[in-house]
Amino acid sequence: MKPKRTSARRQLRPASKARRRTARPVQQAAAIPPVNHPEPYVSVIIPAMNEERTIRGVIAEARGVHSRCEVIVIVNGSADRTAEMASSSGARVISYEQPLGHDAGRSVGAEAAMGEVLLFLDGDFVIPASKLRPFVRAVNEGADIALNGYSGPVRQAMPHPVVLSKHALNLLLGRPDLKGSSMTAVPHALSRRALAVLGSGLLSRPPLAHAAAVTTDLRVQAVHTVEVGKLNSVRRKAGGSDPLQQQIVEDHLEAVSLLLERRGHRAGFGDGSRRREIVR
Amino acid sequence: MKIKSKRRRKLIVSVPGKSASQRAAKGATAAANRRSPRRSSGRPAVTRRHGSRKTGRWQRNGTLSVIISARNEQKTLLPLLKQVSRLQPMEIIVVLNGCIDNSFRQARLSKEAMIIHLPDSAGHDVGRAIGAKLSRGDILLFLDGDMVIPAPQLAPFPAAVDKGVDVALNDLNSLLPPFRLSDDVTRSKMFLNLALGRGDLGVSSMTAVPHALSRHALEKIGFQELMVPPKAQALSILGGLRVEQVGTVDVIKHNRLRRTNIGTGNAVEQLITGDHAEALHEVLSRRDPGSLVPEEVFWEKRRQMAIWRNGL
Repeated sequence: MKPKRTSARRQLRPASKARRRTARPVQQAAAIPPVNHPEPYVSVIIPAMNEERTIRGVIAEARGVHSRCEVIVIVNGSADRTAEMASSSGARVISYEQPLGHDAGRSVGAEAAMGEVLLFLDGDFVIPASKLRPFVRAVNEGADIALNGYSGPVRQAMPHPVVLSKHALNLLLGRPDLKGSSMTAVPHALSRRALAVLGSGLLSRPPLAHAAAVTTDLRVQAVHTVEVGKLNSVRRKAGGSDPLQQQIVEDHLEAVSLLLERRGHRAGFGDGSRRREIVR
Repeated sequence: MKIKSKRRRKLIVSVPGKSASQRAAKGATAAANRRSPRRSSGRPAVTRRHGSRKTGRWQRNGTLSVIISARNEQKTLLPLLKQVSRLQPMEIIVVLNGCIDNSFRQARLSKEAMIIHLPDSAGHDVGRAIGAKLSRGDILLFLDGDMVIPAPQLAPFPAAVDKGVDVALNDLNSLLPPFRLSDDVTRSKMFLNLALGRGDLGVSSMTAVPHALSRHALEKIGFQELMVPPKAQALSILGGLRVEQVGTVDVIKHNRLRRTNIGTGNAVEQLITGDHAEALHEVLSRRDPGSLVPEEVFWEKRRQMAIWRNGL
């Protein structure tokens, strides 16, 4: 007799026994109150500029990372209702009428943060809490800087200059295992110790902060991959070239400069068996 | 340094040091065993044969010096020298770097080659600098002894220099794998070119052979700097020399595998990463400290960029 097609064997269940029809009882998650915890363990820092479409969702997911959580939104240069929406979601809002500039909100947020773990996000796309928790967990387990493992698009032979810069910086830092992970990308989490070593000001210049962190005894790890490339909104470009891209490459060179200052002009790499003195 | 001259053009330069025989013979047999039988002829297929005898095709105004650095390449050296002599160079300089096999005897079989024998290994790329110092030609073609490249594939490099290019590089961009699979050396080369504002060069670098230099370029760079090829590349571009990609020779497929250049994070990779760090150090130290933007200007620029990107 031809056996009946069933998934029983794969599930190690006798074919005669009926499949369980009732769903497993799901523990109802306690409703997360839309307020900041008075003694937070995790501070979530979200710079936002005209993000009224996404900010509520970002804050809601951010609250799910830990039971003791505070959300700090740095609203800058916004002409829309980003600030109102953030405060109605119970976030602490720090407002600036003028734009602070690329990544500058991170320093402001870090100054204001009270938690032991600092989680950095962007206001322009929603990442589910389940994908944010690994970053907090990694810091909890001893990492000082928990980075996103996403390296950017790497399928073409000729990479995007920013992707190349991140890979090359890690290579020169002696950390090729980090591939293209960098503090430039969100989400990433910092320990309180990392913040103390780096200082909040440096966080506005992520490649420099990244190089500074790797050249000290801070534990830098790529912990979890969130494909932020697909989530990034398409931004304006000037005649095919992006001025921000040039700025980011420049920032990476600055980071290389810091590295060479700290580890010498060969970045700590040896000269092999090269005998320079015989060429005169 | 002793110089014995046998013929007018045939020189043997010997640098004092430990003799080759003092080395462990074990190393020599290991080196021989590592060689794959597939490459025993050591010669990639020649695709274009017709017309290669017509030397008129490769006529030049300037004189050519070919500099070959070799390390235990007894099998490939003589066929390579044969191909090189088809280019009708003024001189061929073979720098034997710590050879413990028959390379010296093989090189001596060539009537034209000037041989520089370094009994102790001088390390990576030092041979190029020594060869460049002793050369006299208007055009310098740099090769490695481990690979026989047919003369028609070599010819574009000196030809480009003859037509006014200062640094003629091997264009390996079409041979690259997807970036996620590329090795550390490839990434370093690309980043250095990007930092020099020559992202268009991709992976092309003076680290790879064959490449050719004009005498003007050599004088501008300084022959000593050739022992750190990425630094020499940085100096060429910073010095405003004409750096171009002129041909493609697949040196990836035919590269000889040695104990030190296989696997990730191998010794050669580490050395080359260090070389690129040195080159970037040169790039960054040349920047005028006065050109550093003050903090306020820096942030104003970022502010403007944020506004612009936000579409306001």
